[in-house]
Amino acid sequence: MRAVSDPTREGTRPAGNAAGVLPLREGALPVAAIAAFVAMIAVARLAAADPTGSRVLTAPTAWLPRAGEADAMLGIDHRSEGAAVVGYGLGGLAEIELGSETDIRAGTDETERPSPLVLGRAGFRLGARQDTGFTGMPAIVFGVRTTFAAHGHEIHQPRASDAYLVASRDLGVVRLHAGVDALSASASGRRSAAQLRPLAGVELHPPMYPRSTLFGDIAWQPRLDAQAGPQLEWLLGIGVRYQALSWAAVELAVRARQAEDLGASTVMIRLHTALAH
Amino acid sequence: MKQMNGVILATVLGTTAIARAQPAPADPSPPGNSTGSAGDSAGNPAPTGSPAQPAGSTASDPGPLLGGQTDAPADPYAPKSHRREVDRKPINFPEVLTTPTGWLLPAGVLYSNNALDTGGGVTSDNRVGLGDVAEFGIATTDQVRERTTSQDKPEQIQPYVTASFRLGIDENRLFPGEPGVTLGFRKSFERNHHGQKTRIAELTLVASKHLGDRVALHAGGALWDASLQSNATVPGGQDPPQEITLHGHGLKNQVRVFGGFEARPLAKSEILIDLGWAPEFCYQCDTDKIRLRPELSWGVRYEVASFLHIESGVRVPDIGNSNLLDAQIFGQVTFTSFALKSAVESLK
Repeated sequence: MRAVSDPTREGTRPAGNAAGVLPLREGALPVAAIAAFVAMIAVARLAAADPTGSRVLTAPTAWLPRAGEADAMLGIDHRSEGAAVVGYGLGGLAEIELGSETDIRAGTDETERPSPLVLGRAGFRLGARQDTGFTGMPAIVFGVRTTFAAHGHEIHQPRASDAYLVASRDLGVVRLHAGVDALSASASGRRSAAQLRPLAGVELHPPMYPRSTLFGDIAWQPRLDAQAGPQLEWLLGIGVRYQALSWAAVELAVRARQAEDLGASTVMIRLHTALAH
Repeated sequence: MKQMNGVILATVLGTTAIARAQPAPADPSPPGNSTGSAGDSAGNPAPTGSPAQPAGSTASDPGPLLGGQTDAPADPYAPKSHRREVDRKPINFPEVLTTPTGWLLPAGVLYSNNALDTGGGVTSDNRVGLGDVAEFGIATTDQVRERTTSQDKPEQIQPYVTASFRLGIDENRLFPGEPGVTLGFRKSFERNHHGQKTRIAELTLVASKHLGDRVALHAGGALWDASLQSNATVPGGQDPPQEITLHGHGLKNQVRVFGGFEARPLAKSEILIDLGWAPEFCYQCDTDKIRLRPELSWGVRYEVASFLHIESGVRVPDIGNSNLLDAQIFGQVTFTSFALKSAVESLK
């Protein structure tokens, strides 16, 4: 058994948000995907062990689990909304994730505050570990996430998918994550085209506290509005992770959304475990 | 007496010299083997261990008939194994992720691929290799999709049962560097769904070639056909609804090129990418009631055990419209078995 570093995922964007919107032109996504594949396959080889954890808090990382390694995240926030995600390392090259989350918010009336939407989510991440192609190379992952079930909301046929390319580098005291995310969503028959948004995250490991990690990230997620259609809003998160056991870590985090005031921020606690055979 | 002692001494020395000049026995004589240490049937002294011949040596001698130096007869009474050893060389899979390869299953090998995806698709593909030159399979697919109008979201028709037969030539069989080539035909059973009767068929010719130990390429062409006919009842005296076929739309709407790529950066892990096509029916569209949609898939195949592979990845059913929402995450398990091959070998 081994311990995981961190997790989480998601992002949002506000209603009527227009700043920084980069709609993908027709055919751009396949070209970008193929380019990312070619780059990744070219450098794909086994390298030294990377840190673990598929997310900082919301933003994805480029860390991949080793072959046959499984990790799990269980979380709950102060509104009693739960999350559970299980990941499995596929051959040291990829990871498949399956779980349920409430990171996406949805509403039927713009005057009301959007409420969490329970969604089944699955993801597939394919990448290369750091230092694989050359010394100093960051870890790179191309991932796709999609929803496959929705419960507990009146909104009709909510769906959300995103494809991201993220790079991560462990610099010792600091771990940096940066990437770009293409997000698309639909609700009540209204669909938004894929839009590009940045991803970023940082982790600090103070040498005097070897079991503790401070982290922060920014990511984007759709907010599903039955009348206005899907819109993107950012999510900003900060937190602390404590490696309580070699195979388990607990983290406490706060996440703010673009469409919410600071008082409406979400406080959450999450447990991460990793098992290797 | 002194003369006799001299003869004895000379005999001993001569025998010793001859014995030392004999080649080392291939293997220590098994217990109970009368020809081992006691000598062979001709009465010649059996070779004995020498300082240069430690017990347990595994050096093998094929015997004088095969160019070796010693004759090591086998025990005629030793129990014979009724189970022939089966050559279990690594299997080249008949599919990348959704497209066929130019490789066939070895004779007698059973193959079963079972998949789930986030689009609600559940599929199973079961095949058997025939004589190293052909392959037969029954499968259910979730790739065939339907929609009522062009504005609707395409939905899978499933289960959609197909049967397939492929024949071909192994890689490097005819000449060095020759790619594996297969000619395959897949045909569906008639499917009634939402008051519509549909069928599909696909003829494929594909070549696959290993480029070194870690990379393989696949390229091929497919000739598709499909039919659509309404099940609606018509008043007596009127003709039934006309059947619409893909071949009625012209050859250019039937022929498509597909391909795939495999890379094995790690010993038990492969990265797979392929681009294929799948038919889509639109029941109330004025034109293009039957269309072929491009489908891009990528993923990883991980060899958990020699008989078990796990594959997972992403499939975008209509990559042409860059619609991320249709992307499906899939997971599938592939079993391969030499049991039938072993059984056949044991009968020979």
